[in-house]
Amino acid sequence: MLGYVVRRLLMAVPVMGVVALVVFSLLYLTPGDPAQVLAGDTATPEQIAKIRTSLGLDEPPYLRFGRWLWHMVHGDLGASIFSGESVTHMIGQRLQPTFSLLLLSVVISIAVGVPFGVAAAARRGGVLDHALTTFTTLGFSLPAFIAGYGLAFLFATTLKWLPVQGFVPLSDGLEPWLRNLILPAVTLSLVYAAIIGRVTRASMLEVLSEDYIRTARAKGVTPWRILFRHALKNAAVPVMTIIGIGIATLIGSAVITENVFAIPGIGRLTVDAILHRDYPIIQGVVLLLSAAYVLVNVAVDLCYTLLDPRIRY
Amino acid sequence: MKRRTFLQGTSLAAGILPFLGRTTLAQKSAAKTLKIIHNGNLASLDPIWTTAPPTKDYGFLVFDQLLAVDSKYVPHPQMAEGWTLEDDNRTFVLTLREGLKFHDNEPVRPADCVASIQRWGARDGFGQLTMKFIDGFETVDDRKFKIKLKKPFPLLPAALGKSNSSQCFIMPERMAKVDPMKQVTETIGSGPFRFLNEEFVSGAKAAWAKFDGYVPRKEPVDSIAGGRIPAVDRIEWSFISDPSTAMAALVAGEQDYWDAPTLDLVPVMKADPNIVVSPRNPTGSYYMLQLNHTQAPFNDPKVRQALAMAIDQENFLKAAVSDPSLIKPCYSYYGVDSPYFSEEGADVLKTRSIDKAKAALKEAGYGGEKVVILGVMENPTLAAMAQIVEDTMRRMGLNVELVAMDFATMAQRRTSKGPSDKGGWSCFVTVWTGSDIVNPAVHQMLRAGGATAWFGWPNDPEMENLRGKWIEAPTEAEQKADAAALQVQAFKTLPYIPLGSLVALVAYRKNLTGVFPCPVAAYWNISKS
Repeated sequence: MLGYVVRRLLMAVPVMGVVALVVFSLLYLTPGDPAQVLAGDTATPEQIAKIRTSLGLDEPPYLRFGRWLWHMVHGDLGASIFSGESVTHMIGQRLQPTFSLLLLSVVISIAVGVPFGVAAAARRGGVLDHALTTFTTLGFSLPAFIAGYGLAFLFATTLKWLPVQGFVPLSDGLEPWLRNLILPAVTLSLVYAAIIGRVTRASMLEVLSEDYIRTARAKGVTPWRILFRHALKNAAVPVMTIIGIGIATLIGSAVITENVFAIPGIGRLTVDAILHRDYPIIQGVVLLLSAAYVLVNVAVDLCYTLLDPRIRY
Repeated sequence: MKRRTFLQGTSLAAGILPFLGRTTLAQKSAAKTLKIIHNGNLASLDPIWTTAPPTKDYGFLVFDQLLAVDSKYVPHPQMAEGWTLEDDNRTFVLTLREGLKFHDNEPVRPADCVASIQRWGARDGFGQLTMKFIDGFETVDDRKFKIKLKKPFPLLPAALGKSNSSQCFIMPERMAKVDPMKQVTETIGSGPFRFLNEEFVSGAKAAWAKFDGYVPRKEPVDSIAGGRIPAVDRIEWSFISDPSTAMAALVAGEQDYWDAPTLDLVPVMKADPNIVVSPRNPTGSYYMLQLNHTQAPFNDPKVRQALAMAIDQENFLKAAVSDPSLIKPCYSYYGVDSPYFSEEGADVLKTRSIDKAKAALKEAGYGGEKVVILGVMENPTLAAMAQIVEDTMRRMGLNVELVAMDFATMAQRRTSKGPSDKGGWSCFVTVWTGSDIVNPAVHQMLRAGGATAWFGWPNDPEMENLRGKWIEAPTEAEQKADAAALQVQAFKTLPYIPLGSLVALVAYRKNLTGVFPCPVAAYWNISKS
């Protein structure tokens, strides 16, 4: 197992190298000059040229990429072109809001999606099954920004139960942390819970038609025990797969949700960096997200062995 | 590991993991915290290094100025107790007020002021002009210093006290000695509020605390002149990029002030009895069609004249705003609040006739050259105006292409002097504040020195000559005459075409008092009940 983990992590290194090269090339090809944006409208061409030189933007691309790679290997992601702050520090400042949002979204999605899927499968064709279909259709078809505005309008502006925007760190208390995160997390969970619900239902239906389930029923095992002790654990592998894949989707959707609820997370940092062509931040964030994606996939693979003893690496 | 242990472990991790993030300082719940929704991202903390508006607004909180202009652009002492002129107006003697301190409690000395003037003079346009007149500096004592001039420079007080970027902010000498092409890393000023570096999250949040050592002037506030009284204990900026969220936060009372409300949301806020929507900035926003003078067809003054005949400012302004009270046509190269405002020479802009423009274009011998409009689409007003430009040009018979892009792309492409079909450009719509076009010294777009001029590179030696005359004019009357002559010449050459102005609004909650008219986002004197 340990050998497998090490192999997977080593395999991630060239993948991330390719990601770094692709991102750098895309940024190089994208029009836009940070020196010009930075200098402002009143700057002369000479001043802009000086800024470009001071930032190293006039160097050949291979040199810039090589230098960035060298620093990155030594744990230094560089500094923001605009603020001069370390990219590592800037990403560090944004990690907690994004991580909190993703975590709560995953918890809500699993807490809603799995029981909903199980119940729909147990009562196939019943009210709950139809309710799941309606919920998943809504979840898939409702864009995050519309759902977000709708929830904010209802629960924040009209009922005034929850705040409209912002993030409060957990160090300020669990209650304010939760209050600020509930609406964005629910917004983000809609699609994810819908996917998990659908996959759980399909996987459960397949397992529930197996012989050993019929045997269990014949032996008089209670329906509750059949569903949660016998069927769900065997239906969990595809659900775990979709949870893993879904986390990548969540990271993408978080950009929109963070914007709608003014959460100072990685998503907003990325959008601002793209608009300003702050290359070191874009490269740092993409690299981080690629690493996160690789790690989530490794974790999901490992979870398979825990959920299904037949799976061995 | 057993499955049960794994599941228990993941549950525990889910509970603990949120605590692992960086400990952010708690939001202070002081009674007098002014919470501001700021439109732009405060990225740089050096107002000399960049002219980005959020950095300018940051600068006005943290730093102070030797002099400051009032609402009529007349300079007054600010950090200075006063000034005198000696040696046939070739020596400007400036005395600092008593008790001025930086945020590290060090006294403000003449050496700090001299170094700050020099750094500002290396970057700012008006500063560079000022430095051409300065022969040297001389410190007299701890509060007094002299600026030695090569020849009399009547505009010196206006330069030192100007309100548009970059302002001559005073920093400690060690900060002001930093290469002007590099950012200062410290945030020590002598202004009414101290920047709280430890709470700063670039692009998300910034906070200031009242500087207890600040001694405001006694005079009533008048634009950026007069007493800058820190009337709240703390100021917090939140950068909310989504206008609907910003409005909802203001309406819900989570925020107190929104510095740039989106105009289409104004009616909703006006309907709320707890919200005040007002035109705080008396100068407004001035829109302009910048033309590329180095490429056909706008390298021909006759084509530019033809285009000016077709422009109807009201069409452009109405495309951006439906409320007629916010629309202010301006047939001048100076803002309506400028002492030089007049409509002299503006007849071509008042033609407003597509038919006459067509005839003039035919007479100019337009050969069908492609016109490329750079359209910045992330700003709704600029985007709407770019589309009106396209429509106007098409109707007058120009071969037009509107290229949609974001600001960063436009900022790079407009540096190209190549033909429009080979990565170059023909025109774009831009916006400046009234303070930026108040006089020929700060008016970047009224420069016509060819390669040294702003993007579009208009080349008109007569305009440059008239600007030089204005700079050295010894009396106000002569300055006015030269500024008017410069405008008349500009309407002949058309370095750019004025598209009129829109009233800039702010929105704030009714429990705020002391919000005064100001051309910059100044947050002193504002109190919260």
